[in-house]
Amino acid sequence: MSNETSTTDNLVKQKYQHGFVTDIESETLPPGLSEQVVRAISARKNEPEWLLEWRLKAYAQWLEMEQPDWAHLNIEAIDFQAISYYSAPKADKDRPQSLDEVDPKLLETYDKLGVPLHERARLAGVAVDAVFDSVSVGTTFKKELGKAGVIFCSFSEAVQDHPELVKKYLGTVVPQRDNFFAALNSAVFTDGSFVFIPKGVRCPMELSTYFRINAAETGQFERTLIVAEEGAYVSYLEGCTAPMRDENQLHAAVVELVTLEDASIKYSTVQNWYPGDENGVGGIYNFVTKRGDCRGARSRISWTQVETGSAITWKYPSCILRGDDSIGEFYSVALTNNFQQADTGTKMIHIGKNTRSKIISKGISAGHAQNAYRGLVRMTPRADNARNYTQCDSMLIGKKCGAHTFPYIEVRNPSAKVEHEATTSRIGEDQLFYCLQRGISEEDAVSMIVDGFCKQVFKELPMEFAVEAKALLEVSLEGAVG
Amino acid sequence: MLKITNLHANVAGKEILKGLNLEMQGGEIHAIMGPNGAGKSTLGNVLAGREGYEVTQGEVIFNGKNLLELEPEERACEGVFLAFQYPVEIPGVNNTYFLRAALNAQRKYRGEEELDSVGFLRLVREKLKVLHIGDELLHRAVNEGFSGGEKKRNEIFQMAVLEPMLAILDETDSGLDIDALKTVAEGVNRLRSPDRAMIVITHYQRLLDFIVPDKVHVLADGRLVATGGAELALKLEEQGYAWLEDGGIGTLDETGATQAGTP
Amino acid sequence: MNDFSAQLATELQPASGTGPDWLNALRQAAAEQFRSHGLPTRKDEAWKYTGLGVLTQNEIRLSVPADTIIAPAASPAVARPVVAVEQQVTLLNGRILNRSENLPSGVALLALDEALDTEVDGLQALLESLPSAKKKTLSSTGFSALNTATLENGVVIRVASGVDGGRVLLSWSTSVEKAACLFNSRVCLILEPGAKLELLEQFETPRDNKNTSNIVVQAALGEGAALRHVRLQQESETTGLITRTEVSQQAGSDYRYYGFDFGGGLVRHDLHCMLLGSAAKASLNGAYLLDGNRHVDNHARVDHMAPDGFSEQYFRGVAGGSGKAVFNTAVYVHPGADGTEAKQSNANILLSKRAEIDTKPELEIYADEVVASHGATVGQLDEQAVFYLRSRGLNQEQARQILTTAFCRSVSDRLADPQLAEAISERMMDVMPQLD
Repeated sequence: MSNETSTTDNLVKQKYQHGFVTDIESETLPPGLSEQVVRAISARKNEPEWLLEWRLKAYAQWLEMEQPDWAHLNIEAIDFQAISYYSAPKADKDRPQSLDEVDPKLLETYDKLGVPLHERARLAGVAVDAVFDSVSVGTTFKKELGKAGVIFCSFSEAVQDHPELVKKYLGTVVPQRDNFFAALNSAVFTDGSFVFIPKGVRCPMELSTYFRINAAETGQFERTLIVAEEGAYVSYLEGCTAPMRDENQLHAAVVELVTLEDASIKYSTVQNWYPGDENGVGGIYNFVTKRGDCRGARSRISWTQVETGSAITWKYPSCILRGDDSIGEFYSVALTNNFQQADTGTKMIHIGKNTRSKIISKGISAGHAQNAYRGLVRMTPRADNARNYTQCDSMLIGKKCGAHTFPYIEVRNPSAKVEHEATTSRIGEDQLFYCLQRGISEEDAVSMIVDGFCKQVFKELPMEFAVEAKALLEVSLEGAVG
Repeated sequence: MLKITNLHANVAGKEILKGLNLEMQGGEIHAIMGPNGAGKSTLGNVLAGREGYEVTQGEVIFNGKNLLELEPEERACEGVFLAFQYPVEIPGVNNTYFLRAALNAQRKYRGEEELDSVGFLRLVREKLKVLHIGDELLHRAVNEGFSGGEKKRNEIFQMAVLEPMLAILDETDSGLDIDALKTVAEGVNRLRSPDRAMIVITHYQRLLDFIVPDKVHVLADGRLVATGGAELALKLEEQGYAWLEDGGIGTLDETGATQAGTP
Repeated sequence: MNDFSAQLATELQPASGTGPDWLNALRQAAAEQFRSHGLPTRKDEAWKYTGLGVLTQNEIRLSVPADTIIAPAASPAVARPVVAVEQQVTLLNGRILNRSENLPSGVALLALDEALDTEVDGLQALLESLPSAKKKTLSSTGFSALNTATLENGVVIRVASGVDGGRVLLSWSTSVEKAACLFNSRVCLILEPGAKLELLEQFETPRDNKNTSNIVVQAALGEGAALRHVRLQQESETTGLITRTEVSQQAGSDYRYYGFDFGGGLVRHDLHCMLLGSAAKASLNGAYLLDGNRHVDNHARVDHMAPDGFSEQYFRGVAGGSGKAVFNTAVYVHPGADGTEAKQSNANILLSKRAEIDTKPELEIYADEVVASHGATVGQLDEQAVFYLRSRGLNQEQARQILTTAFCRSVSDRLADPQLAEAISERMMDVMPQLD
């Protein structure tokens, strides 16, 4: 950033860096949703009968449901018939079996995205399952993981290769009719990731998935299922991007996590879907249901998210703390700029005894953006000595944005303890001046202050991700000061 | 009056006291010194019956009664007083009200008549006068917004009003400047009496310049490892506690002269 | 609309015929509104934690059967005033039963119909200002529509510019025994610039009373006016009490609320302050103590619509037995309300496995240069403090009693009048729930 060009105008026009379109042929179903479409998706994926039935049940339930309107979001009506529910990159007859078979242009895409797929993946020690529009295009490190007994594959492969596991866990955390978008996903989900860590295994590397929406007028409906058996551990990273398009694209994913006794899952997300332009045109509608079930005693689920993208974010990664002494955590940074809207937070449902949860949420709002934290902490009558601590801070940059906090606290156990604290502030003029006086530019000062504001969350992210998150935040904030 | 035999106690599953023995007569003042983490405060909390301090072995006989069987308030009514290292702030509870409720609970336990507010106020004013403490602290909530010195003075004031048989002063000197320390020590000295025993727990010798103990004990690793007169405290002051790690009490007297020169 | 609301809608007869045309238009519009929306249900976000249980169980009626009404003379003793007052209005079934005559000059205290006849300045504007059900933000609108549709009874107090109106007690009770009725009443307070008033409201109903009162209090505070509003409420486990307090505040005005709720079958209070002028101040304080099967739901909301306003919300709750306390506080800082300072603090103690506390402290902020914070806790007494007290000789129960009282007294101690604070704290002691 040179001094001469760092005018507000230039900053405002900062482009979304991941906004390129990959020019490859893809095989796409025509827009529209019907029972036939659900059947077609299932057939194309060569699914067993039970899964088709499962999808059809979800579809029937979805038809009876209404899109929720309780969130602090201003959403234009979504025409579910205008969306295509299946889009697969077309590469000969079969889907690519290995990376060598993947369309080079696709790999180029990942290159631009910085997805560490080839050698870079090996160097970084990250196993990547990349989901491009609707199908999974290749998973690295499968062999090495296999030695440890870890299953890490696309959801479609899991349906073919490990149907008993999929059948046992699918929909047990987020049932089909859980909510409008989960029901939709259950009917039309196309791919996603599947992870299974067997008893006593500590996954030898961090697992990672990149999601990307490419084709026009498509929705992405991926489904992720992660199961950690007794004493197992896994750290899972998820990155999301989408190209720039004028129209709004729908993303309705479902993520289910299950931990058995003494197991632990750490789930980190850096979400950078296209947020729309500076006038609020285009961008991803992100309606995601993420939930973890601490089924076993002493198990632990930790969600960390950095949300900088999407025109609309509707997302509440949650923990059901069923096992005694289980632990749920939620660390979140949500940054909204221009006309972005976010309504995000978590639910911590304490059922087991001595369960503990911690919520750290940092919301930053700039431009005309609206940023809401919505969280539920519920202490059920059985949850003796359960504890929750919530800290929820908002920062406003500019006069036209909004920052909101809606915590729900429900307590039905006299030995439980819930503490909730929230603050709203702006970047202090004295703070800014102090930095300026020391020779730091206003932009750098702002990103420094914001970075400090978010530190508590960043330190929960794996190293490489933390660096990426920080950089993303800087890019997203540019143009916010003026 | 007090006999502690082979006392073992755990905190959060970890053994802190590992067989502590101590015997005291009425009117005596014993100082317990020792390095951080030796278990000094644990002893005070165990004697007062704080939750989370689990006695695994041993016994404590106080005036013929098994102290460990009693609830915290019964111990207080039997005459055990703990001056807290960190006196607790209780917003909204008036100091006078609090103290009167405590005193009357103790009087009732002993079968004495409860004091009405006039009688109580008379008593309180008398004690304030003896201790040279102003009465502004009567109108405030218990310890709320008190400075460190005020909190410690409030503990001594409570002790004066409740007139315990055994007072345990848990690091009453910590965080005090020399003037506040003098005030507190003066208060303690005024409350010395032939039928009141006191345990003074401290890390530093300087409090013992003002409160002269009958005996000094060194507590290390959960046991009393040395006992002596007031002069032991001075030796500790010279030599610190490091010698405990390299050989224990036996080395104290022989190597004292040489160690004194080293930092 | 559910069956219960539909039943009420068919019974609803707007109080027409009396009063000016604009009033009849207002009543008609409200009746229409009620007929199309009905009473709120648990599907409404603002009623998520409170159902209309007691009202439907009692089969509340709008019209009072003629043979069941008890003559005012034979009515049970109304609430004993918590402190001695000079000016008192006793209301039975929403109507004025008697009132003291010795008013300071510059203070007018009238029955609503009298006030309408004499065309009290500002009354029409005030009555017409009650926000309509169309605004999603208001939560008791079904009840408010019912109240406006049947607008007939109530009290109007007007304090002239610069006058200190002193303390006025409104003592509310209901008396119908064999039936279960819904009584509507309206209180209008008009404080001219610089005027002062202390409004003390007491609500009490005897055991087994099955009525519901639906009362709206509207207060208009002129520039620099000051209203102190103290409310003490103790209903029986079968009684309903739905109240809404709407305060509009001009520049520099000062509203202070002190609410003490001991609950009832269904007790709901919506307290809403609109800071329209700059540097206005709203201080909302409350304690709720519940035992048995009692319920209370407090919704407090402050809208900062002008710069440099200040608001604080300080609420403490204790729930024992099968009590259920709902607490929702919201601060809304509108664009342009720069320099706003808003604080919310809510702490709760839960004493029983059957009791429930639901709390939701909200912030919605659309302006910068705002300092806003909130804290909410649900838990137990501080165990350190309990031990400290026990180490001084108090037993477990005494220690808890002292600490719980102190917890609640932190609210009554905020009252400027020590005599009133003491009297209220004694009432709190009387109803203090126990650990079980």
